[in-house]
Formats: sequence, structure tokens, C-alpha cells
Amino acid sequence: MFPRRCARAGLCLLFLSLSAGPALSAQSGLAYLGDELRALQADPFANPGLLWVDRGEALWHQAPPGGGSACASCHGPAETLAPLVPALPRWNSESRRLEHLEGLIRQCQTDQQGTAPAPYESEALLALTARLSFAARGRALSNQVAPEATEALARGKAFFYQQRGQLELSCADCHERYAGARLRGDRVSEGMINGFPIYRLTWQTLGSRHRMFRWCNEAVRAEPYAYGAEPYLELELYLRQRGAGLPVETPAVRR
Amino acid sequence: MALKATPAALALALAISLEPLAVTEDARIADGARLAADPQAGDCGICHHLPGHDARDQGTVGPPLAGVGSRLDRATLEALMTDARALRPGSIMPRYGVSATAPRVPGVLQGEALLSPSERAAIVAWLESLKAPTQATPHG
Repeated sequence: MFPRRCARAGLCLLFLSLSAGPALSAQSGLAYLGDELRALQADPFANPGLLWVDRGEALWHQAPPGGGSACASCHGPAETLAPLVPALPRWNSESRRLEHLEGLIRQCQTDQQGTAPAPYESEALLALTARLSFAARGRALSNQVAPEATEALARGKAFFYQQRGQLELSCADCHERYAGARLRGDRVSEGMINGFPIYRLTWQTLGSRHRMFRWCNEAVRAEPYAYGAEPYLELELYLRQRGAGLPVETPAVRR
Repeated sequence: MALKATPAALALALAISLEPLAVTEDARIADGARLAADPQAGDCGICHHLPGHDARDQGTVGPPLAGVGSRLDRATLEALMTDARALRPGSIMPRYGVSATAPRVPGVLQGEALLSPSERAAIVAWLESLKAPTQATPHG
């Protein structure tokens, strides 16, 4: 009896430790914006990120050079993939690794369309990512994590709390402990990922989740990982679960 | 002709001899103010409000620095500018005088402290100069 109870308690503790602490009160970065940027994001004519959504819609229907089929030929309207977006990254049981939206698009380009995959942060990949994420607008980020991805989720959480770089700061140091405070005049968000790809004024363009991770890493003078690298996929998985329930709001506008 | 060591001459000589020291200290304080605000150096404004700067562009993670020279003595300021986390466990203030031990420090920065001893001394001099305004004493 006692061992079984202990085992149950242990499982509960494991679950609790893998679940994000403040997830119940998770707030989108939108909540930390000033009125001007909130209005810009909400404006369907002025939100600059919508340019990429339009480009993505065109690309979705455009056959790639070399005779391959357009995305729409197999998938139909982009909206058909809307349920998939809030559940990414997810565990791929064949490759036995995590996959995210950019990776799935690139894989489709290689395997199904017979073209070279669009490079990370290329206009084409950002546009397609923006279009599919836009289709999922309003859908809640999923809390579901495959049992096989439990270790990856734990590593993603460890990444979030690991201090790194010459400034020896973790994601949590800013986005959990000091969320709401100001860094150089800007309010620190909770680091949620429900608005990506985002139009960032600092970049004057759209950027992916992994670009943001790289930017933050460089800001604390830490060596960033490559786009699509496993540690970033694991962090992305953790942040998706940490922000579970938040609505997809692509394309978000941020400082 | 022999010079007479009159009190006036002595005072003049003392003033002349002290002037370079005063200029040096003023220059060091000015240098500290510049280093504190420089994003490539101390970058204190990212977390603190630096007096004389627009609060809308400054941080609120740490306390405002106005009057810090009245709140903390030189030894404490020096300790904070060397290894704030040793002095105040739990603080996330960068360790300006100690090389980082956290992972993923780029190769060119490994073993390097964020600021040199002279840069830290300049910032400490500037911090020490930030005195709280004195209360006017009522005259009876």
C-alpha cells in the first residue's frame, strides 16, 4: 500500500515538476504591450505581419519550380492544418524526435514537392509559417505531450531555468521572476510563444520562435544554437505546454 | 631672491597641487557615468533608472540609482560591482568582476570579466557621487 501510494505521489510530483508553475495565470506578450502596439497588432490593415500571411497564402497555392505540387493540391485550404499548429512541436514516433512547424514545412518541400527546403528565416518559410499559424488564430495552445516526449519536455524546462552566457541569466530570471518589470523601458513578458512568427520592431521584419531564442541567448552573451536544433525544439515544447490555453495570435507585433 | 612662505603663498601652492587630483576624480566620475550608461560596458540602465536619464528608457528590475552613494558605502559598492551574487545571493545582477562559470559562454569571452578593475573603479566612483539631496534644516 505504502509503496504504491508513494509511487502515485512520485508520479504526481513528476507531473507537477514537469508542468509549468505559473501556467494557470499565463499571459500572452500582448498583455505587456502598450496601447499603441496592441492597436497595431489588432488592426487588420496596419499589422505588418499580415503581409507575410498574404505572401504565404500565395505560396500555398503556387506549384514549386520543377513540377512538384502546390501545398494546396494535397492539403486543400491552409485552414485544414489549423488544428495541427497549436499542438506543435510534437513527437514524431518514426524519426523519434520533436518536429515543429518550420521543420514539417521543410520536410514536405523535400519529400513531397521535390525541392530544396526553404532556409530558416527565409521569406518563403516565414510566409508559410505565418499563413498556417494565422489559420490557427484563436485556437488554444495544446497541453498534450506524448509520453515519449517526457524527457524532451524535462530538458526544455531545464533549459528555461538554466543560467547561461557571460551574464549568467536564465529565461526564467527575466520572463518569470521579473515579468512585468521594465528592461530598458520595455515591459518584460512571460516569454510566451503563441504569437509567432512575430513582427518585431527591433528587427523590422517577421521572425520565428528560434530567432527569438537566439536573440535572447545573444543578449545574455551566450552561444546560440542553430535554427531547428534539438535544445530549441525542447524549449519550444516546454513553452508550448507552459502557455497551454493561450490563443494563437499570429502575427503578433512586439517591440 | 628668496621666496617667503607666507600663508597666502602656501594656500596657493596647495590649491595648485590639489587641482590635478580634483580633475582626476571628476574625470573618473564622468567616466563611470559614461561606462554605466554604455550598453557595451556596464549597461546599468537596462535594469536600473540612472539619474539624468529618461525613466521611460530605463529599467525597473533593480532599484533606482539616485542617492545610492548615500545608501551604500564604498566597500559595499565595490563588492556589488565585483560579485553582486556573492554579496546578495539570489540577485541576478551580473558579476562584473568575475569570469562567468555558466555554460555557453562564447569562446572569446571565456575567462573574461565583464568589466576591468579600472572600469569598475570608475563606476564605483560615480555611484559614490550619487548622493541623496540633503534636507534643508529649519532655521529657528
